[in-house]
Amino acid sequence: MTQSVLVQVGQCGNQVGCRFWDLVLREHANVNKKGIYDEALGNFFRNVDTRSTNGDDINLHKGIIRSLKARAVLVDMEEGVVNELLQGPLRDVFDSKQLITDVSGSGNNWAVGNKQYGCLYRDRILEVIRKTAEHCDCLQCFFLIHSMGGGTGSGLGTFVLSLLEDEFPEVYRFVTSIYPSADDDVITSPYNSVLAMKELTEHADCVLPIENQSLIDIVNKINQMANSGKSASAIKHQSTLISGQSKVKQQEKPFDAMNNIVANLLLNLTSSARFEGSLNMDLNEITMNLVPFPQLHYLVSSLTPLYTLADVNIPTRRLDQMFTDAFSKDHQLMYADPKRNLYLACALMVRGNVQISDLRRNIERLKPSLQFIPWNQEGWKTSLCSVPPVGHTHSLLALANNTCVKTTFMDLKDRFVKLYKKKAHIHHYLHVDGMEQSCFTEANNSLSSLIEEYNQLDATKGLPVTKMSRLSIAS
Amino acid sequence: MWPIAFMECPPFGYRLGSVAIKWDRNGGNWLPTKRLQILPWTALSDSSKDLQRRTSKQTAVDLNKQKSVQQGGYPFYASDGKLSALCVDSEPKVVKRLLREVKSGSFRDSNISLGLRGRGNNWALGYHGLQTQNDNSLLNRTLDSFRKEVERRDAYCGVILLHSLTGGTGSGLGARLCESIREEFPMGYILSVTVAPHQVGESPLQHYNSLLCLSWLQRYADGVLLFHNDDILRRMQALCGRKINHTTAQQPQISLSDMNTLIASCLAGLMYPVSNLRTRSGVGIGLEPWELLRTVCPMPTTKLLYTSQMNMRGTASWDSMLSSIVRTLPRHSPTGNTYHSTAVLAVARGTRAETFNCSLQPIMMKMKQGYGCVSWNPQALDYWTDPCNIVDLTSSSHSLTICANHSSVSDYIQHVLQKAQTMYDAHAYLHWYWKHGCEEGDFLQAFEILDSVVKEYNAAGDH
Repeated sequence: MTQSVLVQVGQCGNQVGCRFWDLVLREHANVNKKGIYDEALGNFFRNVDTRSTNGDDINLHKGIIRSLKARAVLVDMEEGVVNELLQGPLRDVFDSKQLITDVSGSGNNWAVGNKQYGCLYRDRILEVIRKTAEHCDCLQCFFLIHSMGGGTGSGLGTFVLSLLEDEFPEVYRFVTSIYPSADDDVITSPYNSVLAMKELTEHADCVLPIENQSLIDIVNKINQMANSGKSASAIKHQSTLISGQSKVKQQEKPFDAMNNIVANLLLNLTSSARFEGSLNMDLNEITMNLVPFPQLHYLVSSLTPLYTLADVNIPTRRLDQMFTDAFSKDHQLMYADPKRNLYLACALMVRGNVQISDLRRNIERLKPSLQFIPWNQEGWKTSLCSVPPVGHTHSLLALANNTCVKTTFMDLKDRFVKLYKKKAHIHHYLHVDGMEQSCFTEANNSLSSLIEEYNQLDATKGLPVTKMSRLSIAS
Repeated sequence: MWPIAFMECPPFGYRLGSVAIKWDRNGGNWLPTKRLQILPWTALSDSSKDLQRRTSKQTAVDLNKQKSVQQGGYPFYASDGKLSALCVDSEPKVVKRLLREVKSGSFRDSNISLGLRGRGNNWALGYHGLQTQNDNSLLNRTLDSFRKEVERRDAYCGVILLHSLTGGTGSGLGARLCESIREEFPMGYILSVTVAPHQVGESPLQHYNSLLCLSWLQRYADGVLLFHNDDILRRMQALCGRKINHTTAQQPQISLSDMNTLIASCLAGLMYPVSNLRTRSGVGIGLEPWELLRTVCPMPTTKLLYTSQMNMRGTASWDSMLSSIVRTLPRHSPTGNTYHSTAVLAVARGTRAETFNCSLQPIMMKMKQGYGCVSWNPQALDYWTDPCNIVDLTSSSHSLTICANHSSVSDYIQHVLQKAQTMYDAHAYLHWYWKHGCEEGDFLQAFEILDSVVKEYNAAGDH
């Protein structure tokens, strides 16, 4: 069984990470009734005996759960979020040795995060990550959570990413990036995002871009359903995609609902690797199957169902509805229109009581409405995990490698170019040691060539298969 | 002379080697169960009490009916009561579950070889393995266990390899094992039981993996029993008695376990001892798989085999069973050519199997026509019978399992070739294969080999 390490960088990264640990504990508590430390738990947690006197916890590999420590590295250049975490209910899950903090923050400046703090904290970060990796028998994957618009998340986060590639080239790097919306309040977010994009394209194995606006829409949808429904259609407690552990609504912070969605995404992504099922899919299979060309590793994700109805007399939403929903825009975590664009590959990760016949039937049903690239008409990857998420009987996570992401990237590029043409705010960046104007142009070029690759693939839409000449995709 | 059953469990959960038998008391039909049941051969050596204790949650099989079954677990067990089988997987979940579900102690501990990371649906990773491990690699451990198992035999005859074409382990490590075993034991038979994926797509890499694995099997195996997921699913749905209807909400849920059951029962139907091949004292010595190969693969270049099965309760009507099997056979290729078979083997099992011999002439005629047997092979048709119906152990049930070297397989090969070529021309996913040790030559060779297979099948007919 393999292990994964979560690296949460920046304010956004840490807040999402906090929700993730909360929900993963809830999920395992739901499944693991006997309190025995099993391999599923071992994926994200160590079982330690904290009574040892020499300061180092002893790792227990089997037996009853004594004290769970998360396999996590928390990095933030401001102390606020991490301190809150350490004072909250999750404080025992983290080791103080896993935290790297500073006081002053990055000022929403990618260069400060990447170049300045990168240099300063490089050794420290490396040491912490190495220690965490040593605790793993078989480390398979790093999950990096960060935002693209800020300074620490985008700058230091991508620095950590390139560090992970250098030090652990065999370990997969999955990055969950929160992209800023068009009306983001951080002025320099286009700069930060594009500079970070270059790093993601070059160093990540797989990126799951998420847009804040989509999360807001999903939250609104759920709240609308919860508040407007009559008692007969009340939503089952704790079954929504946005519910957390705390039963009291006031205890939830403003972004918690949105962050819970991202946390659920990660839970569903790793469910097949952690729990048993009739058709398992490990994390390395996600990258192998969904990334046909090395740089085109941006996956659009969508989660269904958003909630479960409380009334058991109402027939459970038909399975087929769940599959249809996964391909509707309402359930996507980024603004994009995959149905109008070309699918390079699509993964369906199903949890719960769903059998292979249901899966095949739905694929047959949905296939005609989706356009797949000519050389990958059967580009489906499926998995069945028998453990459903908390509060649901079944759920589906769809990951699509679709050319629709280029629209988002083109928007991002436009916003970048608008600012860069006037060289607005550039001086803040150039003040930092190691940062030059060429960084900006390189990042812009990298993004442009990425968009161009997607365009090239789009051009093959509708072409008969035999007439296609060898595509020269940059590899 | 015992066969060694080699069970390879690819990461996405195929577990073969089990037969589930459930008598639907209400419907009066033979239905596969939804849960993994006992290994058929385990039933031989267990007392009925043991079995019922273990399968208390599942439908119990009435073991009193097995009085006709031979003692000792021969030929599937070693002399110390352990199965002569190895389980190999590059990640532990599936095999661990299998070990929980069968009787403890059935498998020898040293015959279980497990890796940790999985092979990521990548044939190259499966074939070459992880670069870091050397002596302790999954391949070496497996070959060690295999050698020891062979040494336990008086006379090693051959190995049966169970795997799929889609995964990384099943296709990649499977191909590697096939090659290695052939090198080490050139005189032994290698029969592979290969599961081909759903055509609509189980993994974008399935075409590459199938292409490479099939080319390896063509070179190193003696025969390949090919099962297609689409086919199996269709047969299961037909058995459950309902047609595929997209508008109705009520559909029988068919699990992978059900599908595996069907495959396992076809295998049991073919390989369980038959009267024709027992010694005079009635002992089965395990020649069935190798005789199957000798019968159904008259030419070394055409060795992809198609298996069908029908089981019925009540009075045996071999004719009607044969009719239902023949009805499901594909007759013509999409281009209009009629399919043909170079050889066919039918295995009739049941307490009244001798009636098969009585109605032989018309049955043989029907088989010849239905399967399109070629005229140049004077022994194109063969049959075995046995009074024990291992496929369904209740009394008064009969089964007919037919294995044919049918040229419809060339369509499938053609399909794989075409899809793989299209993807190869677009350079898609290739960086994963180069990264893990594959070369262009492997692909080009595979294209050539499978091309020639298609030509051979087309040429084998009566022209």
